[in-house]
Amino acid sequence: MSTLTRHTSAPPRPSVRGPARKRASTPRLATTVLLLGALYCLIPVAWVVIASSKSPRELFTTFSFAPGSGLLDNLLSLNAYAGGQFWQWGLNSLLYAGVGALASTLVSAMAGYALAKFRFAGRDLLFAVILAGVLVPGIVLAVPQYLLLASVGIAGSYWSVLLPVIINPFGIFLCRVFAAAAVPDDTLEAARLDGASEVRIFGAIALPMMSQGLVTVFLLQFVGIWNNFLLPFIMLSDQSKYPVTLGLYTFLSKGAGDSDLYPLVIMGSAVSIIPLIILLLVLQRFWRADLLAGGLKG
Amino acid sequence: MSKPQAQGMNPRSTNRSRRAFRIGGIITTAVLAVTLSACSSPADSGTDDSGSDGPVTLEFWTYSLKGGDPAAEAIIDTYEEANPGVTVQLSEVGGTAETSSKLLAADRANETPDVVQVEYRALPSLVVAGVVKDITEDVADSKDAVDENVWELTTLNDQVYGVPQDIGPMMFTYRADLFEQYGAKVPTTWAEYAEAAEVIHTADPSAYIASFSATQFEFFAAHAAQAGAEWWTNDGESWTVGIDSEESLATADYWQDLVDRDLVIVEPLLTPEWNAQVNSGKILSWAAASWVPSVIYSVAPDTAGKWESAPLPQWTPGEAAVPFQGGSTFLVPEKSKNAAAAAEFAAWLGASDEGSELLLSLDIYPGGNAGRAATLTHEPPKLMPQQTDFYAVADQVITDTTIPVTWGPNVNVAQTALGDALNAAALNKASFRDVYKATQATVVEDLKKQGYTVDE
Amino acid sequence: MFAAPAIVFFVVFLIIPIGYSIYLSFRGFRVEGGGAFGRRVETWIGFENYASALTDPEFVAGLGRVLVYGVIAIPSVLGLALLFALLLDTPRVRARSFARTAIFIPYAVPGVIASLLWGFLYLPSTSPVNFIARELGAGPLDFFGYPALYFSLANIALWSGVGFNMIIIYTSLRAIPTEIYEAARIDGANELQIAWRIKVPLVAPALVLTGLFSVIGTLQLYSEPATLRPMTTTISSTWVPLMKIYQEAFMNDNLGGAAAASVVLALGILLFSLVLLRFFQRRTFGENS
Repeated sequence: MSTLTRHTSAPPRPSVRGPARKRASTPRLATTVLLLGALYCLIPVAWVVIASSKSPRELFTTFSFAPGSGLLDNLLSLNAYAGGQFWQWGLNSLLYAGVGALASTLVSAMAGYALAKFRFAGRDLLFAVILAGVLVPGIVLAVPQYLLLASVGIAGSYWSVLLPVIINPFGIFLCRVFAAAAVPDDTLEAARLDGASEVRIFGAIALPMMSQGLVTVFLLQFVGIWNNFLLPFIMLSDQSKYPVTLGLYTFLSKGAGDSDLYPLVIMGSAVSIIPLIILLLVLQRFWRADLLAGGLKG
Repeated sequence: MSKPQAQGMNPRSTNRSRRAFRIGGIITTAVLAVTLSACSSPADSGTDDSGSDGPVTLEFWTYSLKGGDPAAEAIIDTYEEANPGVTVQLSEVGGTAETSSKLLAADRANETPDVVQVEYRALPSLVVAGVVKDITEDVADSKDAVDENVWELTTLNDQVYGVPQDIGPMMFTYRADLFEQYGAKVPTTWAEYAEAAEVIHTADPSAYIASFSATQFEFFAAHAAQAGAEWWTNDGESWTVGIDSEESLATADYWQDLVDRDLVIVEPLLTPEWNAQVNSGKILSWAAASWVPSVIYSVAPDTAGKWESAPLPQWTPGEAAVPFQGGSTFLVPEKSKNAAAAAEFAAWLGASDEGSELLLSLDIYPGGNAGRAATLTHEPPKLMPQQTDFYAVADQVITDTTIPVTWGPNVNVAQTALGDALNAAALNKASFRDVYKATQATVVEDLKKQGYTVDE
Repeated sequence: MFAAPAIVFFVVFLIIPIGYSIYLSFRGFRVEGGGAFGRRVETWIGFENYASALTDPEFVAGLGRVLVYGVIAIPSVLGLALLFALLLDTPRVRARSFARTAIFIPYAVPGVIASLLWGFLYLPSTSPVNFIARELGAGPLDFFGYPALYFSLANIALWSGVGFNMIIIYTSLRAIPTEIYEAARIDGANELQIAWRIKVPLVAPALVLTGLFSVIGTLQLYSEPATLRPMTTTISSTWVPLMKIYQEAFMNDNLGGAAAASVVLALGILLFSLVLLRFFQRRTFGENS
């Protein structure tokens, strides 16, 4: 947490006015507020973890933050549900999110690169239209996409969930920003003069330069796909292909007569959040938001 | 300050790449468009499409049989052993609402499953959407294995569209110990119910005889039916909607009275809140169908042994009229590729002796005669191990006057209209009568808009 | 050329479905074949769906609710995100890494799960807040009544979204060259003044970006009210426009009506966004678009 490289020593307390004093104490108020914010954000997560340890009888009778006794039982029944299907769902989610995010990042990188580095007629219009894609809510697209894929016969397959998520307008926007900020034109010029093909230039020069920004796009898209529920709901009816979110949703929405599933839902949620948090923590290291910042200064 | 947003930078390779991109894009789009339009009519899908002699896989959408549940597996195994060449594949797609909407989407994409479980109230709307196969012929043999009252639930205009799986004869399930503690009498009429409500609430202001949940559409329909109202009827040609009939409005007044006097707590069912209150004995009863005990047991297992079930209170003393609430049926989608095999399976599961008895292992109340008979020797629900005559009470209810509840083609519209409006009325202390009348208007208008003839 | 794959996917998965939706918006299901069980068939009905959508009091009311919600939610999310970002950027603040990660974690929780768990936290019998209130002798807090409901819903959005927005603003802050601060400090400015006078204006573009996405997200509010609806009696089935669209599409089997309502909603969002962009563009972006 050294700040020596970036800031000079300055009076740290925000409430101090007047000439600078050479007191190098930590800004307590700022720290406190941040910790409060962190607490606010973590408490519900803590609740999920604690709630997942409660057996059905304890869930509605004990105090929220008192740990229960059913952690193992809940875990076991989650495991046993539908013959271990929960773990299959986890693998499915990993597939959809991992492959989907990877493909999406690549496509977005290509598009962003093209939009940033090449000038062609209609470029800005194209960009605007792509961005406008953000305006359309998933619910509206779901049924037409389903009918479309069904007419080519792939509805209900893994492809039906992988393909539609590849297009990601926000990702393209970010990639455009990264491409513009991180890839100097001179380098590109030089490579072209050397006779390299465009594809080679993209792969060997541009991509590596954008790489840290690409991590951001990958992360955002991974989380987005992992948490997406409506698309798999409309596309899939084979239970073994469900992602975790859809599986948990079917726990919740039964016909009258099935409400012993709250503990399973909570347990399942707790378990499914963990990979995402791990991913976040791991990728934080690579996360260079500086490039993002550059683009946003515009 | 740097300006990284590079707009006007140099691009050399403009012409070539510009054209390339344009042409590439146009060609790809054109190719896709052509391919898609060529494939738009009944496409060959991936399902097993063999004739009557090859192996058949039946895709079965159900929420009662869960994969991994040993009881469900046993049922499937039994059928598959007796019918080699048939494989049944289970799929859970959610409750009735989700199942209906997915079925409609699947039908439009020509990719339907083979057997689908939905609640009775969803059947007419699916039938008029054209997605349900008429299986009158296929299951004609099974008709005698099912009580007429029950068989009628899936017969529309003399055509059979489904095989009943389970039914929900209505009963009154209550906390016997607390009723005794508060000195409340177990009601046999709705008037007594109101009295008991008062006794309970006066004794303990935080306790209520029951909750009032505006979104339980089937309950209100059944309640009105018990009073003699019929919400939808048809004579084969046109519909009549009776939500604002006097009998129906009388039931609205009844609940209005209880809500206004704060004798029932206005709350949705089965929320964490409701569950907590049942656990702590603040909600003392639930008047619904015979599946109530298993539901309560799953959220309040500690209260087992303290509940009992009695016949539903009546409007007129001494009568024994009871409606069904809930229950589901198996239907065969119109576009199923294995319709014959599917109908056979449905008939076996719902109506045959073996099938309907096996359904009992799933903790549901079977519609087939054999299943019903088997319940009499079945042990009572886990919630009330002390009440050994539970199933006898339930069965009696069926043989006494059972009132049919007919559903119309736009149940969904009615359900959301009534639910929203009742909730608002309870919140704002407005008239329930008006709510019923408004719902009537909405339902009639919707029927007409769709093109049905409505007798007013 | 490089943009080709993106364009292809865009056309296939966005343009074509949108086109089909628009086509559907002019069609509806009408009964053919007589009798009480005549079959519903898809036919052309012109602008009838649009008329229904625009004259539907619930749809319009839903738009109103979303605006009220937006007025509460958007400034809170952005304001808090800005505050946290500024605090993170304060020299020598402790727990920076921990706080940054912790505040971002809710983003990883899916909307449906987030609503469910906040539902537990809001309902009187299972809520720790109420537990404490009861111990202190106060009555149960009604998180679902009016007007508390708007704040309760906004809270969920706040919890979920503040981390994401904070990161965007924070990274924008980190890119500001430190020479500016040095100059200001030499002139005698303290941290608060630096924050307000220098940092905030410099991150204005990031604020506009997050603001815009927040606006769009607000107008498309769906999963929070939809998930909480079964838990309370105060949320109707068409509380926000998108719930109405979902209901028409998936429950009433009225795809045409849903499509028409979506077109209306999308156009509304587009207009709103354009107006907002124009307004802010002039003030913060200068000559770039």
